[in-house]
Amino acid sequence: MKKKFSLGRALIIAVLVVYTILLFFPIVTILLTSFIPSEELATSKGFIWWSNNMSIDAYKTIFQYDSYIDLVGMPGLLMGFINTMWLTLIPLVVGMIVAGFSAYAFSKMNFPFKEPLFKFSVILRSIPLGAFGVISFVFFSAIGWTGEAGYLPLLIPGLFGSIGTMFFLRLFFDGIPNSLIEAATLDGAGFFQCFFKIMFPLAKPAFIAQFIFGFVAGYNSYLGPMLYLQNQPRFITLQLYLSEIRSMFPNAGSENIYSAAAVLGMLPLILIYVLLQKYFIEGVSAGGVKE
Amino acid sequence: MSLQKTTPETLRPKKHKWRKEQIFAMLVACVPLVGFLIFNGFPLIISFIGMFCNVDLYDLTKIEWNNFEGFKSVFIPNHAYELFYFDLAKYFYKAVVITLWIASTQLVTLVIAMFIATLLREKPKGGRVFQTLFFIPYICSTVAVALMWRWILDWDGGILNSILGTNIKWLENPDYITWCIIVAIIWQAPGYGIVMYKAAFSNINNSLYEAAALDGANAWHKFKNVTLPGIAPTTFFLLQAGVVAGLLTYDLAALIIPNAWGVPGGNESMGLTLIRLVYFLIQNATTTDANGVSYMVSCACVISWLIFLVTGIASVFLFRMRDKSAE
Repeated sequence: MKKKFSLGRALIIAVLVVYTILLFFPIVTILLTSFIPSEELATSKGFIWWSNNMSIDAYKTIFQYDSYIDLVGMPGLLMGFINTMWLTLIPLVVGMIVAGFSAYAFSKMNFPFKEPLFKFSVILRSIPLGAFGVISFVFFSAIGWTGEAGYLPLLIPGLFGSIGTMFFLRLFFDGIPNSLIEAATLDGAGFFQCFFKIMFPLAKPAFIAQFIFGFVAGYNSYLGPMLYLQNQPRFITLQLYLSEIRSMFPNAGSENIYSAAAVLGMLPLILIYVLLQKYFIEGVSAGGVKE
Repeated sequence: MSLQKTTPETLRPKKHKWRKEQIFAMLVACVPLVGFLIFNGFPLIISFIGMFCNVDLYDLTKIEWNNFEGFKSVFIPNHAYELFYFDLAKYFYKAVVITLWIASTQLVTLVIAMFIATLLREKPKGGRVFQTLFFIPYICSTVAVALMWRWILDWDGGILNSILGTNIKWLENPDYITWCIIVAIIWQAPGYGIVMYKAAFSNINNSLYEAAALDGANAWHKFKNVTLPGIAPTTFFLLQAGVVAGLLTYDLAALIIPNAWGVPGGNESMGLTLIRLVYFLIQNATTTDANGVSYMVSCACVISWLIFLVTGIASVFLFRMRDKSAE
């Protein structure tokens, strides 16, 4: 069916374009400011749209002058990126595999109290416990997981795998025929072989969706690192670094540095998103509908 | 972990081997549940006790009944002065108003998401590109987003004042600051809803529209009688997630403000959400030796449980609505 030009269609596109402009206008402003020299920012009254001396000095400054270079031997942004990566990826990957084992057991194996345990897990998980995010600090400080060991509350709970991931993966696993597992078991495959050779490859889209979700959440998480890792330069995370950038560069005209830092903080995730957008969109819609 | 490599079947009675495998499966299946119970259960228990007792942060065996001082300090104006150096109740009521205000913006976000998704549904030229672009703010970190808005709203050099030709200190005025937080949230949040609504639209049975068309329904009637009921489960799901997130707002409220509450020289009504209040109490209790720190922890427990009750009741209500609408 060929779409004809009509006023309605043109109007729709016009509205979408306006919305796009509204969304990206803020991002464009920090992109512009990140290239404006500090001297001009310091002396100007009002926003500078364009300068004849556009430079990447702000980006250089972030990597060359900050107090973290003396403290930890590398720029804070880099240190933050490295810490964010391991603090995100280790619990995410391990947790996903553990949750996958659990989902596999719930989906394809028989054991006592299977359905009650599953129901119990899912009911518990639907309770919104976000309100206890900050007060948990009391528990973790009581068992000594603060200060130098402040990375533990961010690392260890994730290793157990989340019930949400288990639930999501089980839905997916339920769609995989039991006969595949039975055939493999007859050939002598054990639990782990069945999981990694059959379930994992077949359920890859589900794992990718969960991975993306977890990665975005970990990359952007701020409250947790702030509670547990503040004042621990060695364990600074990317978001903590970004939140400190204003106090690190307090001079007038440093807005280009703040803007550059915000751009550098957003860019990696936006690039990953553009490359893998199919999985992002699928993951988001699957996560909600199957809830 | 080596259970599946047990001695050959022939050496063991068959029944026994079954049981071992079953137990292994049960153990494996329960790992997420165990993690959940440890890392959510203990904080829950401690904070529950903490509502009624003063708990020593570093020695949990020291628990002392505190005669509801925590509750009194949170709810009764001026009562907290008897325990520590600020009037908690005053801040608490302010924070309740600001938090509810922020949570209610979820409705605006929903309407925007529904509207944009409806437009995308008409399959306009470049619809896929638009959808891709609209999701980008959602994945941007709140910290970077806060940096961005602080520069846009900067009174001297920020783009908003330049465009409006004004000289308003948006971020340092309690009358404006909550609006600034709300604008930043509305900028960031609809992307998720747009994707969810698009998926929900594709699940509506097309024959319903055809039937409505045969009955002579116009576009508005179709929307009201077919589309809205069809996407209702998604709406309630988004509302639940959004209201809970709104009631727990911390990051943006803490980061968008120059001299925030809780900072020396900060203004008392600046972006004060309930979670920020909890954080302030905990931080004071763990990093200072001001008088009455153990009472502060008790107050933080009270507020946390209160937020939990509100988010819990809201969730149960919205889950019920969703289940009803899905029938």
